[in-house]
Amino acid sequence: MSENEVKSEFEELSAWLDNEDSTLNEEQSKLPENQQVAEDFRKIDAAIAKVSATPQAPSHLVDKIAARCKEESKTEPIQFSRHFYRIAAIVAACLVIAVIYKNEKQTDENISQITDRDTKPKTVPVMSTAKEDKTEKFDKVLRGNPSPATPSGDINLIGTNDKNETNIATVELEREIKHVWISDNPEKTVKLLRQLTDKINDMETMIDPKGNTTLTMTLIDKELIEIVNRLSKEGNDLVSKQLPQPKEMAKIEANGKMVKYTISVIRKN
Amino acid sequence: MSEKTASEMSDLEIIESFKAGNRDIYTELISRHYNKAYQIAFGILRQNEDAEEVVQDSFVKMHKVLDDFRGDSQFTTWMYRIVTNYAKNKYRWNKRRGAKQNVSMNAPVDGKEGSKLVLDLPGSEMNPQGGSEFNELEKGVYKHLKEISPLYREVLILRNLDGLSYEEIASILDCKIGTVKSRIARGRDELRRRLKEEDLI
Repeated sequence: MSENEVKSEFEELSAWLDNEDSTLNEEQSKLPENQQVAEDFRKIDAAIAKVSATPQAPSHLVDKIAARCKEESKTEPIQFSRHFYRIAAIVAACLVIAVIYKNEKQTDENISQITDRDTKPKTVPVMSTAKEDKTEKFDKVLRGNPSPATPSGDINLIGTNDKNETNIATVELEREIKHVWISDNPEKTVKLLRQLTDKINDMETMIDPKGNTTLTMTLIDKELIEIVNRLSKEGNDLVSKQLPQPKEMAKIEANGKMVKYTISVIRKN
Repeated sequence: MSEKTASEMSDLEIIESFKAGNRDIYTELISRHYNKAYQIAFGILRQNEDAEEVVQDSFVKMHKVLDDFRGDSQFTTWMYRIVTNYAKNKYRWNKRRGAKQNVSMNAPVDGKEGSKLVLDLPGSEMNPQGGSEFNELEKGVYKHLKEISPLYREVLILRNLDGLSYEEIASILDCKIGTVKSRIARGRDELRRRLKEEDLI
């Protein structure tokens, strides 16, 4: 019998008998033919209720069900363990792949960084007049003569022999960073900056009428980190919130990424 | 104030206790409801062994997922839904396989009478206790219930066995209230027509 059959002519009467929503009113329900059908339906319902309630489940069924539930419960931890071991194996495999991939990437970047430094034709920087080897000078300024107040733990350099190498940070710097520094002596700060950035190509310098200097350059993230550290140690205050921040170096991951850095040095009032 | 015993607890309290780690209390839920579950399963399947199997499967299933029972509906409504679904699956399975059904000795050789296969209930069919106390009408209803569409049979059983509302039945069968209303009316109409033909009503 399909659902598409014609609606039962007694559908409303049937619903009315069950006290459900029905379009049948009291008056219609008292019509003789409806009365007869309603009476038949009541008898049928009573019979259905009786014959449906007659079968009795065997009492041993309770014990059977309880036993099966206990049995299924016992097997659950095994299923969980298997599932757990599968997941653990997958996670372990993913970790191994990630570590291998990261090491390879790091090696590639270090190589490309070295290659870039060695092969990149150097254009004359706007502010630079230095003639000595720039990398050497950079190292001399930043590494060879570190400020005694500079704790070596401030900088995390992945792929270096820095003693904090094991403290691998998780945050990468953004591609474009803008910092505003407040300085008691902007001239001295700018001079230091020029020393630090002497080897960097494509640097632009702007000086506004108030004497505030803005330098824009492209450099490697670890160079930027060193600059920020150095400026901070020299007593300058970084007012911008963008990373790298002098006190939050521990969470920076320096992986040799090129970063556009715009730095403004403003005189402290 | 002394703690309630399991038999004094409501279904919901038992479920909360179960969730809290008292797994053994589930037996109380089984004891309370297994017979009603059986009657519904039997009503749909008309077969003792199948009904038992459905009840077992349903309670084992509920045991597994009881921790996720949120109490949005009554436990019985939830139980009826599970039992009904298992019973319907079993019914379809049996129908496809033709298993556990015996062709009537009175059936035509090709197994057909008109367009319908005439089937007798298997030997393991329940012989309703107190069946001899059934009057002629009840015997007729018992006989014709198994012959009408299972769609009508299930709504009529849910409606009359536990007095469920159309809304509850719709929730159990996952259909619209209008569908329940329509199926109940058609089921009653069909039974009435058949009973009238046999002068039982």
